[in-house]
Amino acid sequence: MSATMAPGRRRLAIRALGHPSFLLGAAISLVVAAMALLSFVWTPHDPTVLDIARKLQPPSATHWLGTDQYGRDVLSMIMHGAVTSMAVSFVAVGIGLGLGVPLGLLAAAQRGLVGEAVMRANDFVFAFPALIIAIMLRDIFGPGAVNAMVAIGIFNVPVFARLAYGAALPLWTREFVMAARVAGKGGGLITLEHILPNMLSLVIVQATIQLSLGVLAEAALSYVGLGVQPPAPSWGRMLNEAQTLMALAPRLALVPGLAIVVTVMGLNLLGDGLRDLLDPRLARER
Amino acid sequence: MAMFSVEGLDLSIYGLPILKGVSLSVGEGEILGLVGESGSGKSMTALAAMQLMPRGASATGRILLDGEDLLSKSEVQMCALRGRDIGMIFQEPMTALNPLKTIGAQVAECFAQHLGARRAECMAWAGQALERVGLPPSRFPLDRYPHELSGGQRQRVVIAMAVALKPKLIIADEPTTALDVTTQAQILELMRELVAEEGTSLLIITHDLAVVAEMADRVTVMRYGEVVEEGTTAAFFSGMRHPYSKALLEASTHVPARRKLTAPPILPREGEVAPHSGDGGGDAAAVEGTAPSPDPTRLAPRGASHPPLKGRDQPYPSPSRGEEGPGTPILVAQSVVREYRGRRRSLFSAPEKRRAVDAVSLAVRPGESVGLVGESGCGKSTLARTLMALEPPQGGAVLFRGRSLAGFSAADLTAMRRAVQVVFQDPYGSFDPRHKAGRLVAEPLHLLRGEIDAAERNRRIAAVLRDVGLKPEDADKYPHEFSGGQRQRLAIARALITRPSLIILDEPVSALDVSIRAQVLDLLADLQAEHGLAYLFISHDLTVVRAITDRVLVMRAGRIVEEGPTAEVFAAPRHAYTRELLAAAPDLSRALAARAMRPAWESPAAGEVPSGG
Amino acid sequence: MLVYLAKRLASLAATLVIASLVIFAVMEVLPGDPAEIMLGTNARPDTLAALRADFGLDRPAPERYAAWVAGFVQGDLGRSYTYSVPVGELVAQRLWVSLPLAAISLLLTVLIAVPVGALAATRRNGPADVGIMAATQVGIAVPNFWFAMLLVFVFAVSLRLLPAGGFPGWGAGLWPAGRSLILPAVALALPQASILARVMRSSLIDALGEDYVRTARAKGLSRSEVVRRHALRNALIPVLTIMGLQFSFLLAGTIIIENVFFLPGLGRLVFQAITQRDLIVVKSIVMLLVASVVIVNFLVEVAYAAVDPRLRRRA
Repeated sequence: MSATMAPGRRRLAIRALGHPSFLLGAAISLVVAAMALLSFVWTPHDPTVLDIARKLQPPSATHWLGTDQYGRDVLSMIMHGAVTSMAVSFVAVGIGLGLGVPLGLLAAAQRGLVGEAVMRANDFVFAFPALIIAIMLRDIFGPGAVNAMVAIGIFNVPVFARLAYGAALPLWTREFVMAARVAGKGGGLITLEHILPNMLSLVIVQATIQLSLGVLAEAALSYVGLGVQPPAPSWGRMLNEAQTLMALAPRLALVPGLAIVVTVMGLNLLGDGLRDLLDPRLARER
Repeated sequence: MAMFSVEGLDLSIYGLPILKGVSLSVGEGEILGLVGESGSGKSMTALAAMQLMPRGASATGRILLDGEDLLSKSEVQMCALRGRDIGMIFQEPMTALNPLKTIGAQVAECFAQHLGARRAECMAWAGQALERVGLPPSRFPLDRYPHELSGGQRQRVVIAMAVALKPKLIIADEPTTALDVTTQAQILELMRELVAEEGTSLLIITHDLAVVAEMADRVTVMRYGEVVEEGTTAAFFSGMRHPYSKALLEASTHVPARRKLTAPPILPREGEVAPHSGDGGGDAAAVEGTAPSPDPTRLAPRGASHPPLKGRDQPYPSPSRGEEGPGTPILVAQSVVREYRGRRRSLFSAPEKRRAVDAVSLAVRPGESVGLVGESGCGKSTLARTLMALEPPQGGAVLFRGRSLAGFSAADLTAMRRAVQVVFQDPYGSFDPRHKAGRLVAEPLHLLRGEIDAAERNRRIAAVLRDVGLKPEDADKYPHEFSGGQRQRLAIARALITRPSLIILDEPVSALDVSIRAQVLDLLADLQAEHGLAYLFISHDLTVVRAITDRVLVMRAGRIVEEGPTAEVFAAPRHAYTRELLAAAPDLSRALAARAMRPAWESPAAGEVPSGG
Repeated sequence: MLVYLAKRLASLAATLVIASLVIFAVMEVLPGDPAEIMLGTNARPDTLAALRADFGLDRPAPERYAAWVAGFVQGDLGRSYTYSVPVGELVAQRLWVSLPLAAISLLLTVLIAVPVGALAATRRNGPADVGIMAATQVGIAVPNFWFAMLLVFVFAVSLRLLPAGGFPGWGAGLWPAGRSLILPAVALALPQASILARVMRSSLIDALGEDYVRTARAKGLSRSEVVRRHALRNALIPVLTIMGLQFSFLLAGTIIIENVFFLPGLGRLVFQAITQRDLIVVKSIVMLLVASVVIVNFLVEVAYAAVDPRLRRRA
């Protein structure tokens, strides 16, 4: 599973520059991230200000992407929506990484009853789609960004735990790990020195993929009203509000939808590229 | 006229030349041995003949089968030809069969494909074909799946498919390399019989000169994609011309020169009692000066200032069975048992227990070299893990310097690990690819943490690297920058760095080419003499064990069936299994002697009954 | 095999029990007084008390749990607070929309993904492969509910070929009812098929690199014969795994898509119940959905054994 290549940072950089899907994915991701960051200091208009007089205006010099049915500037909403999207999916991936990876590593290092218990619990959590978790948690956290983060985050935990477990288990049978045991090293130290570094590339790649799934899930939750609440802008809720105006102003549905598609594609391309670059063995199989 | 010939074959993959002007020929009913080490291009030659080359390959030249050029055939024509006119046998029987189809269906497919017969008819023929290779349907029903058969049995299925349609040529690519010696002998015998019966030509590809000597009428030697020598087997072995062939032969029959140690070395090793302490002193003092004095720059003696297992100078128990040998045993196994839980037969029965190691006893004394021989799955690696305290025994005990590991504290275990180190089989898998050689080699110094400083650490790394024939500068390289042989040297360096008194070698040369193997064996012999090491040498390879050990234990199905001084066991084996192993092992000198007894072109009498399995 | 099945069934039952406990705890015990959640914090005390008595909420939690589970097993899911009808009836009625929708989209997913993935694998790096891979890259990134909106815009609003939403009920005939499920099923299936097609491709490429494929070629089978007779079945094993995992996404997708198309399925019901704070309905539907995910994954594991003889004898 793991890379047989030693880290050669300069070589990696050179290969990265020659990898089209990595470059494209990185570029898209950077643009989205930059847009989100920019929105903290500047947006063309205030996305929360309603101005019914200027409703449903087509794109113009003042409103580059036009306005919605309440006269809000669509571009500004998209920029703020990027923040929501990124924040929710980053926190959700953080929850998944922070809980899932240690659990998977523990299960692989202990095997036996502990390992069995951890992985059984994982399978169990896996039976709850993020949407169902969001429905269940709604009355604890109330609808909103936190509910979405926690719901998607909980869903991410077994994903990372399974990945870490699946990657660590074969590593534990490798001779270099046995050599480390003969060198008197314990489970924790071996996990830190040999297991984790050898699966890090897999974890990074999975993290980008979960990030993109997080963007999709956040949009879906906001669309059905379980995510971010008004007036905070969100791509998913923009789509919800645009739905009844599809015939009148298809632009209102197209713009946020495309924002989601482009962001998710960017993250996926980035993930594919990272996999090729970090894990030469997987790259050859493609 | 040649039944099959390759003329001036050039082959490149994405422009990278793999084969350069390869020419060879196989006469009708003849067996040609194609010999070479890994990367010599011998397998690629076979794949070119089948027109089953990897992506990006392009070949020029001529490959003639019965006068027809295969390179000029279309894919459709080749499909009609493959399996009917050329049969092929592959190296890895465990993966060569489709796991989701029954063996009967897979053999029947040959007939269905080329004869277009009905299913029932094909299955009947498949039964006959399997019967011929020693898998009669009465004992091996056609609806068996591959995973229900052993490696040797699967290889028989592959052979059944290759010979099913009585092809003109059979290509066998390392057909027995993945098999145990006894199975290997049976498979070679089977192939020889089938070929002789049908008068089929056979191209057998191997790295093993002993297999060639036993099987082939003629030999072709390849190296780096070129043919370097060819001739009849008899002429080849009696007068090789090319230096590479000679080197190959030398390496195949190589016996490392061992400087015999009659006594433990003067230097105290880890885990050994210092010469002046306890009752071990008498022996050591008596032999002082007889051991070769090690180069002081190589491994600076740590002196007796730190006797491990402090304050445990009570007399060690005498060796359990009163065997002769210098000093108290470093490691003793007393009726060690390792069991694994097998599958449950029914819902209410307890799961079966499989004994991987069944009441095994052995002892290794300082400076001694003990061999543990057995076929794959006999439990020798499980035993090794138990001896290294990586797995606890479920019965019996492992004793380190007379004390059972079961009662060891963490400090005791550290002392034991300093004294007992290990070298694994796989030169690729035994290093973390992300660490540099220096860090990897120094890993066991974890056992000495707090005792040595960074300078001493670096001194030791440089010393062990020099000891195994590498340069101290190599410490800055990553494992992938070393060749297979060099990596095995690194693995040995890692085992040496705590200055152990015993190294457990688990198939240390099995993954290496013959020429590299000889060098590593030489190194091991040198190191043993120099540092007075004891070895527990685990291998399936009788030749290797014979060359490097003083005593040998033969293991079968978890039990030790025979043990004794190596020379005695090999000269006069007492147990039937040992005799079987010895008879089955391809042995170059014996094969050559046997060959001298019969004329070069003699074939076994026609109509001979196949013995099968 | 029998041992294996018994073991798996036992763990299936255990999983369901734990799931019911978790759902009960998270939805009824943790957030506080269920009656208050249902009626809101401004409800009058006597109304609250009446509701509590009506639903047995004044009994202790373990007792309520036992009653809920006992009812669930017998198909009695309790009585809806807003609809004042048995939840079981309500759910059964809605299942007749959700279940066919899920089944049709699953079927569509497989019918698209397997051939497309196989085509890409056998034409590896060729123009067909590159095109398919690019298309699936986009397909994975498209949110199914947005795709649904686009489909409505094109096929219902502009072309007027299919209904934009609503469901006439199966009583209206097979075609009128089925017709209104076409767009939702396509919207669900295409993104899923994109993922599955990629899995199919890489798993077939792996299978084609196996030694037994070379053995089969050496027997004289052509490239396509090897794919059909040897590689395909081996390649389907990982595809089956992913399908099992995808099922939970499919369920979640169904719930969302029903909202786009105003289909009276479980998804609509659960969201109506959420807005009306009809806790009993929400809890029952959540349990039902989780149970179906667990059961489907169990069936997938059993299906493995049917495909792979190596697993048939495993204890």
